[in-house]
Formats: sequence, C-alpha cells, structure tokens
Amino acid sequence: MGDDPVGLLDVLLGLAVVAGAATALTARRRMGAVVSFLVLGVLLAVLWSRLGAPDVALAEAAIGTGVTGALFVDAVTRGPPAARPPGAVPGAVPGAGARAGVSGALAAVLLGAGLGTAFAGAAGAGAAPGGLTGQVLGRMDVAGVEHPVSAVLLNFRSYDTLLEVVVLFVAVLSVTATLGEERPRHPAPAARAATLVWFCRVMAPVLVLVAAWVLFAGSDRPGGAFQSGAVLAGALILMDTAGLGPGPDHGRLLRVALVVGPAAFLVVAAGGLVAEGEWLALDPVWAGGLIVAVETLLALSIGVALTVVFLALGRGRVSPP
Amino acid sequence: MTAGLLLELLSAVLVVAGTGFFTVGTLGLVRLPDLRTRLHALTKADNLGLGLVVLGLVLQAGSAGAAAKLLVVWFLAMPASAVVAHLMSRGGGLSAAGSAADGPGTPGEGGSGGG
Repeated sequence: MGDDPVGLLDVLLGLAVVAGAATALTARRRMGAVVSFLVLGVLLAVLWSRLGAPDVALAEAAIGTGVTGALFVDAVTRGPPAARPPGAVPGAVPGAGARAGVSGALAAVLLGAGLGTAFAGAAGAGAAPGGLTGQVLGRMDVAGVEHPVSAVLLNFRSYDTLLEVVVLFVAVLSVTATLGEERPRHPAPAARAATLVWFCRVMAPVLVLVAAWVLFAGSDRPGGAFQSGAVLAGALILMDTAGLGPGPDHGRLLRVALVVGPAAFLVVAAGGLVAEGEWLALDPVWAGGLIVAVETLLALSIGVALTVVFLALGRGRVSPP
Repeated sequence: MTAGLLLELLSAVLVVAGTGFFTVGTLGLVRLPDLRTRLHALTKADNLGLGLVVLGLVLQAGSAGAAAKLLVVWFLAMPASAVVAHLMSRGGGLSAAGSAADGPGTPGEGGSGGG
C-alpha cells in the first residue's frame, strides 16, 4: 500500500488533514475545536494507512482519537464554561494575528524543506527496499516474532519502547500526585441511566476481548501492546462511565497493575544483561516467549495508566457537593 | 461478464451507495434545526451507510475471518450509536433522571451525572 504512486485521493486527504488542523486551532467554541481534533485524528489514521503504516494508524486511532479525545470531551463538557461570550473573537490580543502569520509561514517553510528532502531522498534511492527495511527484514529469523514492526519495537529497539513506557509511567505519577488524594467515588449504578449501564455491561467484555486479540495479533500483523492498552483503557473508562469501574477499594490493585508492565520489562532487560552481557539482549530461543510475556504485562499497565489519567483528571474537577 | 467482475461491480455499487447515505446523513446534520432531528438523521442514515459499506467490503474480503471481522464492526457500531443517541437526546446527562431541558454543558448536570 505504501508503494502506490501518490494519487488524487492522497492529495485530497493531505489537504483535508491541513484543513482539519486549521479548524481545530481557529474554532470559536471549545467543543468545535475538540470535534475538529477528533476528525483530524481519524483523517490522520487514514493517512497513515495510505502511507503503508497500519501500526501507526492503529495507535493514532486508539490513543490519539480514542483516549485523548475522551479526555478532551470530558474536559470541555465537565469543566467550567468559557467566560467569554461566544461572539467575541478568541485570542483578541494585539499583534496576535501577525505572530500567528509569522509562525505559520515559518512552519510551512520548515515543513516544505523537510518534505522536499524526503522526496528527493526517496527518488534518489529508487524502488528497491533500502535503508533500514532491508536490514530489519534480513534479521527477522532471530527476532522471535513474525511482524517486522513488533520486532523493531520489542527486540531490535526495545530500549526506546522501555523509555516510552517509563515516560508514560512518570506522566501518570505526576497527574496523580498533583491532583491529590483520590476522592471517594460512589459508584451507584442505580443512579445511572439503565440503557447506559446495560450497554457498558455488554460492551466491556467485548472490548477486553478485542484488546486481547489486538495484543496477540501483534506477533504477525499490526497490533501490539500500545494499541491493546488503549482499547483496554477504553473498556475501563466505559465501565467507569456506567459506575461499574475501579473504585476506591481497588487502589492497590490499580497500583500493582500500573507497575507490573515496566517492572517486567526491566526484569527482562536485566536478565539480558546477566545472560548475554548486554542490557536488553534477547536470546533468539527465548525471544518469542519473552516478547509475548512482556507485551501482555505492558498492555495491562498501559491500559491502567491511561485509565488512571482519565479518572484522576475527572475527579480533580468534580466539585464537592 | 465473469463472476469476479460481477462481484467487484456489486461491491463498488454497495460502497458508493453507503457513502451516499453518509452524505445524506451529514447533510441532515448540517441543515436540520435542532438536536433531536439531527440525531434522527445521523443514526439512521449513518448506520445504514456503514452497513452498506461493510457489505461491499465483505464481498471483497479475502477470507471468511476477515468478512466476519467486518460484520462485527458493523454490529458493534450500531448499539454504540444507538445508546449514544439515546443518551444525547435525553439531555446529555448520564443520570437516570436525565432532564430534557438541560444541555450537555451545564456544570451542575455534568457534576451530578459524573460524580
């Protein structure tokens, strides 16, 4: 799919992405900006698919549009209403127009230079799979998984993935630390709309099943820990919406689930140090099993991490009755 | 006309019909006056449009497994959109006593519904 020549559809898609971004930045009402952001996320996912990167498209759809979108919508509908009357132009600061124009022009120049260099490089390299693709495909026999992207993420460049997971972990820590003690939340399914509760009861197991499928599909097709974690976060947030989610007495369980993923990754990394003399080295015999185990625990941790961020941001704003 | 060509033609017709329904639904969203009429247009037209697009793609799916997954997408999207439309038409609150008068942005409604 990524080898097709650039067609009319791709040009239109690119223009639509730019238009979506512009709408998201210049919308007058916050809800309009959030909806434009969601549409932009969907368009980006389609764009990534057209570029032949279905894993990134999955991650964009699940995390960028799904979880981040849920956070934005939650912030806009439950936060304080905008103080400005809707007729006023947002950002009516003198000189704001000129500043926006200059930074926009600079961004366009940089983007154009970057794209031009990329196209020139691609044209010069020819059609054969060169660069890193050839190297990765040549080493797939020791990777332990069949999908090249999973091999890169969890074997060849697993250090980067480990750091990403730790960054997510630190973000969760900072959100929960700055928003204070978890306030007791009273899940009362009886007070919620019956349709909503029924829907969440039916859908949450389905979503958990989908998350498990996406996780194990990552070994030979697009999928993996981050996408699966995002779907799992969706399931937990849905349960929380129905009042069936993690409550104050699940605090310890949540903390264990948060830690177990990065901890397992660190154990495997240290095990590589002990067994092979190199941090994060994976013995080809054990690679497949270790990758699956680490990915499973990572998916659990990522799902719980995203849910905790959502819950903490929601609780932080609920004013005491 | 071979069977393969006929199948592709049928698939293309279904997908185009599906996108036609989506366009009509979007037209309804843009042109209709208030929330409930817009929800009416969106849920009906978009669900049918999604169904037609999925059916068109099922005809082109490589295997029974892929076809089943496409159908699962449609069967999951329908109750999701129905429930969301139902909740939105009750005023956007999550509580059982969702009043019709309040909009989704009222802090009090959101606070009691979410807390």
